[in-house]
Amino acid sequence: MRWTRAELRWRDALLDALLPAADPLPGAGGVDLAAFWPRFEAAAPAHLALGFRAAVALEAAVLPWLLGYFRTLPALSPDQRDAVLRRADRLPLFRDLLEVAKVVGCLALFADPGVQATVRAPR
Amino acid sequence: MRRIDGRAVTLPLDLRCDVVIVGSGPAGAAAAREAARRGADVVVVEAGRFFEPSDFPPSAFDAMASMYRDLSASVVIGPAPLPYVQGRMVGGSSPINGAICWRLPRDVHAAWVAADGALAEALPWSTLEAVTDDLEARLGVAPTDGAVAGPKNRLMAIGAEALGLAHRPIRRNVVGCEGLGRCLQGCPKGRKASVDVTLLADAEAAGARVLSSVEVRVVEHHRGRAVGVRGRADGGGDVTVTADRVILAASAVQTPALLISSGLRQGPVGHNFQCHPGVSMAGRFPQPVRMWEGATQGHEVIGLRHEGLKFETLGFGPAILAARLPGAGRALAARVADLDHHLDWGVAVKAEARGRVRVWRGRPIVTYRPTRGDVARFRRGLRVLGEMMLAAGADHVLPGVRGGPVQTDRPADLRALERDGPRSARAFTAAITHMFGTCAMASDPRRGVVRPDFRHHAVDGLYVADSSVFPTNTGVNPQIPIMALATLCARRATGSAPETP
Repeated sequence: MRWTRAELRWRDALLDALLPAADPLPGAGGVDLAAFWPRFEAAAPAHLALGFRAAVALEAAVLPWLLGYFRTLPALSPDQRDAVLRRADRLPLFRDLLEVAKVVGCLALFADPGVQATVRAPR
Repeated sequence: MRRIDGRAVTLPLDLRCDVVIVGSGPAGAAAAREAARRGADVVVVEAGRFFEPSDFPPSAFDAMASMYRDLSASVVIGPAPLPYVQGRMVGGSSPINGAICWRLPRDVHAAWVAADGALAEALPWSTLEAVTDDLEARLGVAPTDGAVAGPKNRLMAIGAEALGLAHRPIRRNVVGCEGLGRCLQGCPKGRKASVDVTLLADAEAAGARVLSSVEVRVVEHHRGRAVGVRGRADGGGDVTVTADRVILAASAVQTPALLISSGLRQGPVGHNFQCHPGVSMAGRFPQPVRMWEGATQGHEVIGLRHEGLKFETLGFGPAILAARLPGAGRALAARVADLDHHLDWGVAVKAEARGRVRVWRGRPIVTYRPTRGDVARFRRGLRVLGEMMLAAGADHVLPGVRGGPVQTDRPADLRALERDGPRSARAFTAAITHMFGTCAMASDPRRGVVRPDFRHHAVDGLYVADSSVFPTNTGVNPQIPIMALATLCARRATGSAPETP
């Protein structure tokens, strides 16, 4: 089933907040993931695809409301997004779904050739 | 034509042979080599496709998407949804495993024989040793060369030595390793002596045909006798292979599922699922350790094998290591930016739990629940891993246990983790490797699916060659014992006694 525009915004905001830029690496929001998503959707088994979609909806749309922000993740400031994820990391269910998003986010970030080159380059 | 690519098979394809083998991993390749060398006309059917070293991608995601079953995200159903990893390519998991080689431990063989005396004759120790010698010579098995070990492997040696634990370089089936750390994505230099380029190549040289990208869906049987297999090529064509004998070598998950899907539910098929669940400990070192460099898995600690614990260095790429680190948001990003100072070591547990493989909508479903004793071994293993890391100079360790410390540099915290840590497997960052037992070998048809000579108890001409026939788990990496038993299976299937060289 195709993702809605709102879901796509939640997804991108979640990964950007989950893996922000930290020198020397760009964050998930700083790399072009357009080529990654079709390959992920083609390869992911149903339970992983469903789990990731649930993670996006609950972490980016539901949890900020539960925490009293009354907006979804894309509308929050970077500090507020980070606070939401710190809470998610301590809450049952949200913590499990955050792990799913983390795995997908790390696979996406490190699939970028520029990130691979940065990590593997001698320092 | 020796190789047929199922992606190009768009029309019905019918083949005829003496022996059809389902699966081309360590079991299928070893069985094919032995059967073909004994003069049988062999067809190997494999669900995955052929890969050349030039096809192996640098990114973990691309490797998992193309060469692993279900993006490496198959999970068992139970209190802890543990992932289990299987390859889906010609060679099975062999081209993408850590290349770790162990011979079947004598104590494991003795336990099998003690439980079923018929196995002493069916699996003679001296024959197993001779077959293993031949396999190890063909695969170039040798201890990891210190020149390519890299920091992660050298540090484990330092930590184990400090704790007084027996340790050694891992014996691996690689030839001319350059320490690129890419074993789990396929060696781009082609230095791994995986079964696709060794045993299966030998089989092809002896006349075997390999049919790739074809998923076998049914074992055909008629009046109590196996007569072949039927499946579907990735190109859309229906494939039928008619054979005098059928050898299943599709893994301890896929083989029982295939039997069940074929209506062959005799005996405890799918029961007795055993495995080696593993947990890992991450650590941060003051110096760069660059976990993705050096021999992928080059050192192991064997001093606690009697407790069912075997420790190994791990060789994830950066993506998997990053996902293993704790935290989210800026805290995670800070650790990821410092990734080259982190590494991860693992402990494989010889678990006592038994699970089951069932079939739902044509797909295998595995149910599994680690016992309290298994979870106690998780805690014990993590304590030892953490103590080794700290003894090797780690700044701190990151246990990855819910309800435990996020990070610590205090051995007392690790002792407390073992003593007072979580009792639920769900609290641990764990994964399953090495699966066994789901078509166990036993002389009593109520206890086993195949006889001690690998023949199915109820269907003539049907054999099982993979680790699903192992009566128990082994506590060690099983690829060599799998190849050894599969070789004996092929001898039986071609009418030879097991000891016939």
